[in-house]
Amino acid sequence: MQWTLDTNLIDGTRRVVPTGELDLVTAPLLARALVEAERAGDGDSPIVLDLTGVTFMDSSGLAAVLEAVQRGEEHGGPGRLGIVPGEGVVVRVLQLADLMDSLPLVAP
Amino acid sequence: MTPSDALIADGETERAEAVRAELARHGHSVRVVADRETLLDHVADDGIRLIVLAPTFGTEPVATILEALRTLPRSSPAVVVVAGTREELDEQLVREVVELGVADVWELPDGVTATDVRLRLVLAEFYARLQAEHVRVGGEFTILRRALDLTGTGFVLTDPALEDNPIVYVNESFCRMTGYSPDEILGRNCRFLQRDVTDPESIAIMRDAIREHRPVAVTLSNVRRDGTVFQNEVHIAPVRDGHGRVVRFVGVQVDVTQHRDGRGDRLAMAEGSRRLAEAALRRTRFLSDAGPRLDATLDRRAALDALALLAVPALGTACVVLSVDGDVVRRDSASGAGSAIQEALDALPETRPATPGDPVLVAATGGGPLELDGTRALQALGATNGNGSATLEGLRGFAIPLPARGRTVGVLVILGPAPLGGDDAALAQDLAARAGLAVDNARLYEEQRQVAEQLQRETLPERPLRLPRASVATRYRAGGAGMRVGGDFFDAFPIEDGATLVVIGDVTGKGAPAAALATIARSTLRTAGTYEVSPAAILRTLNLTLLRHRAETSRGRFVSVAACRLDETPTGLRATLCLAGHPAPVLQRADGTVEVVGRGGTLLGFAPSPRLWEVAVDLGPKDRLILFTDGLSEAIEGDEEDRPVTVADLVEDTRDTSLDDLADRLLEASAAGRRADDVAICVLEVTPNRDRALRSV
Repeated sequence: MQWTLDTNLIDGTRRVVPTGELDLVTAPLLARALVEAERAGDGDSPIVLDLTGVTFMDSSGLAAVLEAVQRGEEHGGPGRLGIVPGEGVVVRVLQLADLMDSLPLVAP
Repeated sequence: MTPSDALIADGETERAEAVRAELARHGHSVRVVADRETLLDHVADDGIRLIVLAPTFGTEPVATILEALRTLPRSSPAVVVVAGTREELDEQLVREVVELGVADVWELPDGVTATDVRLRLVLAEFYARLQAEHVRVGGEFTILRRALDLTGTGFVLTDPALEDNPIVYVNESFCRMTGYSPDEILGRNCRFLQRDVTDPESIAIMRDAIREHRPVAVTLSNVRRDGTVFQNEVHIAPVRDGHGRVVRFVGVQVDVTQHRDGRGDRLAMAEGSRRLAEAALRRTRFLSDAGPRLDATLDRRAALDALALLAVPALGTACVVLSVDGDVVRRDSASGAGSAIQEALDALPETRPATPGDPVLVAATGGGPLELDGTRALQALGATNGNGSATLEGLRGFAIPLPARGRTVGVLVILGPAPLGGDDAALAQDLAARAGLAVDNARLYEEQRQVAEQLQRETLPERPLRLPRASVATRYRAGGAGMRVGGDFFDAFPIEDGATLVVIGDVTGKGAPAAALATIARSTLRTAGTYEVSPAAILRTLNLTLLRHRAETSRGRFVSVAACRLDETPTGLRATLCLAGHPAPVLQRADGTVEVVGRGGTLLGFAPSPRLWEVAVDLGPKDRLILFTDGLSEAIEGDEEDRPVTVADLVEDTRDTSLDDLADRLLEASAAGRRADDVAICVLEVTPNRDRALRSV
């Protein structure tokens, strides 16, 4: 499965959409894309991180997601970042970490 | 930010990272682009000299991208390379991209990580080949190519790996000389220039030399496109890679027709061309040989040896590398052609005090390359009467600083009976530049390795784990090869009320920062155990420490841990488990039944009040508890949907296996997955109660 990372601006919402394996190698790319999305424009547009297409996620990938959530809570205020967990692997990792109800999960 | 001079367009991040690292090592400033628009945006940037494309990029075939590149205005023509795995590079695609003007096609090994040594070697080799052939990549090579193009010297490269050793590169002069266009030349064997007029004997000499991979020079009667005959003096030499394999033949052609007609000015021009061509050829061969050998070296000793091997006898009869430490000059390596010279070099003092006007000191401190007469050469080596200087008497020297990252890491002295000529001096300086970097890289690598190893030691207990009433087997492996250091840890220690706490955990990330965090986690848990007795309370302490670190460094630090408190009971052990974002341990009873124990709690380092649950389970004699990190569960659970294997499944039917064998089997299973993650495994088995056993007899 090939790794892709798309960033779209749709009706004022920035959608960050990684697909493929989110691991040691790709996690830094996602982290950078998220930081860029946070700073883009006026720095206050809502961000949706869509993980539906992620086929594998390890602790580095999880860390990239969690760091974005922490930054959002500290700087952007609640509600700025939404995460679409999709089904399967991402949900499994979030369940193992017991974070399903601590993260700002949204529907696609 | 410095402007980029190289672009990598590849969606395969692991591969892109490997290529990026390799190009960066060669001094490129690299931009990795992940989509077509970004690529097209930056292709036109000033100073882009090299573009590496994946065979497929996004959904588009590379040919479409290449077409798009052609239509863009570019300030300087960049060299374009396509890099992919054998599977991606089918014959059709290779032909297509070569026709579209791609400079080279790099076939990379499949399924490797960015730090894989094999991939590094392959890339180093390809890069050296690119430098040797595609003359536009580095400043030095631009000049070389221009010289070749201007002097009317034909220059071709052929690829013996392809059928019939076809021409894969041709310069303008060759086209002018023969009247054919590049399209008509590329892909054909050189013999298309031969006709009936060509001397069969010369052809045979040439063919034998190529077959035997020897350099050769012959003069042939060849025929131009328009049918006219010309005298073609052909020089052919094999180009070898770092493994000694012949990867290309260089052919240099000089039209000597006029020469035979006896016209003086033409003769001089042809002579000049030939000399230039010969020098160019030698340089190409030399550097394509030197690059991979030096680049693949991560050991200082080996780097110096490779340098000596490359310099002698190509540049001189002896080569000595010296370094300056305060006012002491040390001899790091010395290599001579022939045993007499080698013995004389070996007899020289290893260290000597610097002398007034010491040529080594002068060269090392910004004096640049120095020509040394016989006396000064002996002075540089520290040769005096009585230590074998007689053999070295009369040799002249050339001292060149070995530069690396703005410093001088040593001085290379090349000794020979005659002063080093212009071409050889330039070659020697090229070599010094490469060797300096190789020596410095080896030093950096060694330093990093020592730091990483030190950290790694801190993440694991110094002694094997000892548990009350239980035998224990532990396994640990840091993922990947080479420098990788893991973020997994385990430990067992007594806590405040005398019980024992076993912990196993995994911190996010890899390398030295992960190992440092693992060390913090382990020591925090130990400290917490001196005043807390419940596993949940101990894990909460670690959680607070991590959150404090986050506040200080504004970098997330997340740790998953399984903590297991062990209390002795009349029948065995009571295990009180607490899991924080960690896979649940597996319990194998003495009768062979297998179950997963514990209740999942929150990963540490994220929430101020993680949910943590304690679950107690009584273990009888021979019961086994298997604790592990996700390096094991992820490897076996894997991505293949038709293989829903869990660690519990793996443990089924292993009741007859010894504790050690079970640990080995689990470690093997973790290596079988295609991901090389860190893994830590800790298997414990309650020892039979001897008192009870005696009583029941």
